[in-house]
Amino acid sequence: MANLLEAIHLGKKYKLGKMEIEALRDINLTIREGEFVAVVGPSGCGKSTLLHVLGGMSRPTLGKVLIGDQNLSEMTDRQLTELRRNRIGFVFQRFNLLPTLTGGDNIEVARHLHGVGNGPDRRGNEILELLMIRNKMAHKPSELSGGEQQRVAIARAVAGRPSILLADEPTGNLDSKNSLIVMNMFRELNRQFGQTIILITHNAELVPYADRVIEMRDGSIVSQNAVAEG
Amino acid sequence: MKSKIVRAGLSARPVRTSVSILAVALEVTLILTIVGLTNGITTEMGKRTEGVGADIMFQSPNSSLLLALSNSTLPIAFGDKLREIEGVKAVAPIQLQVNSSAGLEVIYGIDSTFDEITGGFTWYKGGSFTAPYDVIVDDIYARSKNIHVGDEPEILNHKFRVVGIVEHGKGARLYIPLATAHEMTGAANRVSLFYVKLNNPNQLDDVMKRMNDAFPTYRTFPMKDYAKLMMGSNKTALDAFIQTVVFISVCVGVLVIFLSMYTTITERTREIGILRSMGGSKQFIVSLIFQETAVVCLLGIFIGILASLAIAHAVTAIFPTLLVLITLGWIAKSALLALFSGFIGSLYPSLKAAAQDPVDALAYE
Repeated sequence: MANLLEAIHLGKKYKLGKMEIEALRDINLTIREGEFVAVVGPSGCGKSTLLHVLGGMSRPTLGKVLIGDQNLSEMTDRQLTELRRNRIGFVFQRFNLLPTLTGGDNIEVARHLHGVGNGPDRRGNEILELLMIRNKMAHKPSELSGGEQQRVAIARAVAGRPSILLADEPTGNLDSKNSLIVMNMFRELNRQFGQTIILITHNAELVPYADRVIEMRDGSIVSQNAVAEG
Repeated sequence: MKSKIVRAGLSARPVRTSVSILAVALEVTLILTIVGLTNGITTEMGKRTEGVGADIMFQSPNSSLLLALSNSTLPIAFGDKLREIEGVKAVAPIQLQVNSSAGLEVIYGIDSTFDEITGGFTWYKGGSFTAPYDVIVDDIYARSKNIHVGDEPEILNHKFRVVGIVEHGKGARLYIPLATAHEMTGAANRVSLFYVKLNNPNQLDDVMKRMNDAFPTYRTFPMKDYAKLMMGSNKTALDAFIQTVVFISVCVGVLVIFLSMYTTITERTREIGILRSMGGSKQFIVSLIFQETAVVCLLGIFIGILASLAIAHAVTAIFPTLLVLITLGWIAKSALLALFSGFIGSLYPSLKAAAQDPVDALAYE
């Protein structure tokens, strides 16, 4: 598998009042195409910051992030926006669906931004089947359960066929049953569609779904290991 | 898709959307009604003054074209001198008075020479003056005040007797004897203006030149241009008033749209963060805000125009002497002004929304 994403000596500092926080320290990692990677660590260890930097939502203070031959650290704001639109899909803990639109329209917004027309989309339909939300498209987020909302958010995140799906604690707001469903769906997306996934979690129980686990502590990577087949 | 987001955003906050639409409607209504009323009154006054049938209006130096603002400073003896000028057929002295007890009405103090200019009134009921405190009213005034021949309305703090009702369109709506007007104002032998009729209207320029030679500092004015000028750009005071009303209306529009859009983007910070995380560009966010504003403005403009037309209709029905003249030109102007105020009002909020950091926006509670 070819390398898809690379972080080289990545550092991120930000100011909180007068204090300077070093959120990421000398991060080096490589993600290969089709890989499902879990990033684990305690709260505040820099997992989400890493996700934001890898996804072009914020810039690193030091080092660089390469997606293919594109260096995110040297990109303008416009280029980062284009990168997010065309190559990255985000799934968040709080689902972050647009509350005024239906599930179907939330997915349609992503397709619209990506420049995909409104015509039939076989892959999209297959994903809706896989996520078991085909009959939920006319519902607004407030009419859906947490698990259903998260599945719509996943469908939205992959609607533009991103190179990488970045999931930030996607089961953090779900009960164990829905967590299981969502994780199985990530696994299926990865296996059936070859979707590259980076999953941020503090829940060690989710690690077995991934191919590889990266452990972070205090802004640094402390270990990277392949996950044994369960 | 954008239109769906815009529609959903507007319908999700129906109260604020409705208030914003009504505020824009108010802006448009304010402009159209005030301008319509001002233009209606001046146009109607202009047409009535033209309807006198004179060829020239002769006034004191620096007199106003708005006859209600004219003073009684012309010696009545000027009438005889004017009659001596070659080409002049008839001269009628007019003393103007303003009755403000029930609205604002210009009253003409006239004598028998007025008929020489107008060709005489068209009488609907009654006849001419027989006593000093007689008044002739036009049909619109009579209808609006429900006045009949023989009634005794109070005009200028005096009780007058209505002796005749005439067809409207000859200068004023109320006419009293010139001598009575002199007595009431204490300005005997003084008048506000003279209407002059020519033997041959084609000799207008020649006769006006003769008048100007005879009375160098006085003002002569061709009546054929009067209504046009009343509506035109020369009515400086009214223009200033209209501009002030328009400016205040636009300010109201800008502030309301600004407040509405500012609170919208504050409430929807998270949504903006979501769109930005999905790759929505800054231009995309700005265009969403502008489209929302445009929808609010267009609905407000539509309601505002309808409301203005309804008000104009109601005003004329309730007060027949008032005309609200809403022109296509001013409808277009008020619509453009409302759109402009919407654009200005949403400019800063939209730029602020677009400039939001996606990470911060997503973390917004």
